[in-house]
Amino acid sequence: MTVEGVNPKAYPLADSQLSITILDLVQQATNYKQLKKGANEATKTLNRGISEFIVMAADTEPLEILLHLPLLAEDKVFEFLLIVSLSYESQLVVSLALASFTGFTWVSSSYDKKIRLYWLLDSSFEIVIVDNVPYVFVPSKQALGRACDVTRPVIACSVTSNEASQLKSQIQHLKDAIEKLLI
Amino acid sequence: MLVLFETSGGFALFKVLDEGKLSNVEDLGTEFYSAESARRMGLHKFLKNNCDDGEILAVADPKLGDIITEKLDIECVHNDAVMELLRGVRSQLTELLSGLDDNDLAPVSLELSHILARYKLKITSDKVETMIILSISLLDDLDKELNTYTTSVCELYGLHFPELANIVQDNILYAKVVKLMGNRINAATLDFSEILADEVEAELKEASMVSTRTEVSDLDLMHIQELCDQVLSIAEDKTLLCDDLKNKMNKIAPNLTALVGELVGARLISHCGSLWNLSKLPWSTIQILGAEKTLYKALKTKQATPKYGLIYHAPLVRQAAPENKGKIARSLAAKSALAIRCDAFGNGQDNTMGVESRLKLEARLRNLEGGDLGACEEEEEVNDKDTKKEADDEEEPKTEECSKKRKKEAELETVEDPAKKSKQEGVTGLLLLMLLISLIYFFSVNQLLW
Repeated sequence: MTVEGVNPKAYPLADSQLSITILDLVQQATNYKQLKKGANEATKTLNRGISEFIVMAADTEPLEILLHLPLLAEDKVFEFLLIVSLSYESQLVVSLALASFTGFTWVSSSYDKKIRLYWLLDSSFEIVIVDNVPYVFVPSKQALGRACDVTRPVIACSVTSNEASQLKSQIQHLKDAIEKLLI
Repeated sequence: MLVLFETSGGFALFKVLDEGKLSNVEDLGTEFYSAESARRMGLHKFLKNNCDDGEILAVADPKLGDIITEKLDIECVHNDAVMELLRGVRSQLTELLSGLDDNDLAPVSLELSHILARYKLKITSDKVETMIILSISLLDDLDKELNTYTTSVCELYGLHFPELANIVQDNILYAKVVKLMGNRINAATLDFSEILADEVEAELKEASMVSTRTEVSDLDLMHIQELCDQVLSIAEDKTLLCDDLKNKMNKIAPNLTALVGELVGARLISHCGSLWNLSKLPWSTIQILGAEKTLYKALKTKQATPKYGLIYHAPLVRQAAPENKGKIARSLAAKSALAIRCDAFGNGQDNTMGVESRLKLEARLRNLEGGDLGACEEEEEVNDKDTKKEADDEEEPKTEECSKKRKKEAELETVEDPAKKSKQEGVTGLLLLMLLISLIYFFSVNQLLW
């Protein structure tokens, strides 16, 4: 694989060892029916919030036809309203309120995600959990197509969520490895 | 030791007198006396002119130091002491550099921060879609206004000369003829060669002599001609706006303009709010943008979903046969999605991708419509694949909307269970009844034997 010709916009780019791991997991996801192939279907999984991570091919020509996927992956935000009650939630709400007044981003060990608290005008509030979807580039679209069991090259694919799947732990390890590339 | 200091106005070089204590920094006479000389001189020439051989240069950025060492053979150093030294220099910058004070430094810093932020966000200030959105809205308003005015002109002048509406079909030509002619009596002596063809002109002059409608007063005629001036003025404005929109679209979205034309492209951008938002949509959404009401109605009543929205007015879809419009619309939407992403994330003004995609689509259109006898089987296979693809595309939106319906169906299924149970009880009762009849018959036979 020629590293010199890779587009600098393809970031984060996996090295050869991590690429093999990613393609192997993509193939297993194909067998377990947990894979969406193609940039279009990957876009839909991000819009629906059922994507675990996104794999893209760095030798796509032109590369701009899949640069909207990192934008969508980083933009995924889950919002919900929390109802105040006299219980554990009440204590959590008080803590979040204090964090909001100090202007800091609260990282709660219970949720293991970044939580922001927005105090609304009608004395209620809205909690936003920011959970980015990891994305990674692999060097070859031909290899990605073979991993997806498709005869044609595949420029993007998305591994979807399934709580009861046997791939859960492998997916979590790979997500951690992908996020290490961004450091 | 020398110290390279970077400010928003340029570079500065200082000499360290006492390297042991790293104090008593002194000006080396490297002030920038005029902005002209500062702007022309680059870092390369600046360092070459001022650094002697064997000098050690302290830098704030180790990567920059590596580049300087590589290209100029000047030894660079970067450590905590250098950072402390630079912090001290920054706090006393206005004193060390003569002719520079805080009032001069603030606007230069502001300009530099704007340029840096724009570079980081990759925003080009000339790629602003607000003008396109407003232009396409204004174009629609001009269209409506022009229609209203031309209808009024035809109605008013029709009282005087009703045959003219049949002779001159075009609205703009009609307004020009009315403005030139005035009273229909003048038609016989005027020359319409600049506006109309010879046959139409002869027909007009013949009709003007045999028309038997009412006469028009001078005041009414003046009002009608002023209305014609309005019509021609609006038509001219509309033409200028179309040209301007074409130029803007070729600048902001060249690939999309090459594929679907500037009007349809502008409507797509206007519908989504910006090119950035449009680039994040899958092509199946782009295909039916502008037909949301029809889509939701079809999903609610479980009918066929629409095949096109705003994209119906693209030239490629319009010139296709009715049975092929759906296929061409789907292919065009897919290629348009790729073109939109190239326009949004690419920095160049290149429309090669759009032109190539358009050529492929035109070839496919010819292939669909010019069916040879030898290619009938291939066409049938292609049609089958397209039908399956259409079914797959239609299923996905339904799954999103039908989740509520599935819950209702689940409730209905739970309701149906007692019905099944009652049916089973009925069957059991019937069996019991048959058994009872058999027993009665058996006893009757026995009694007869006895």
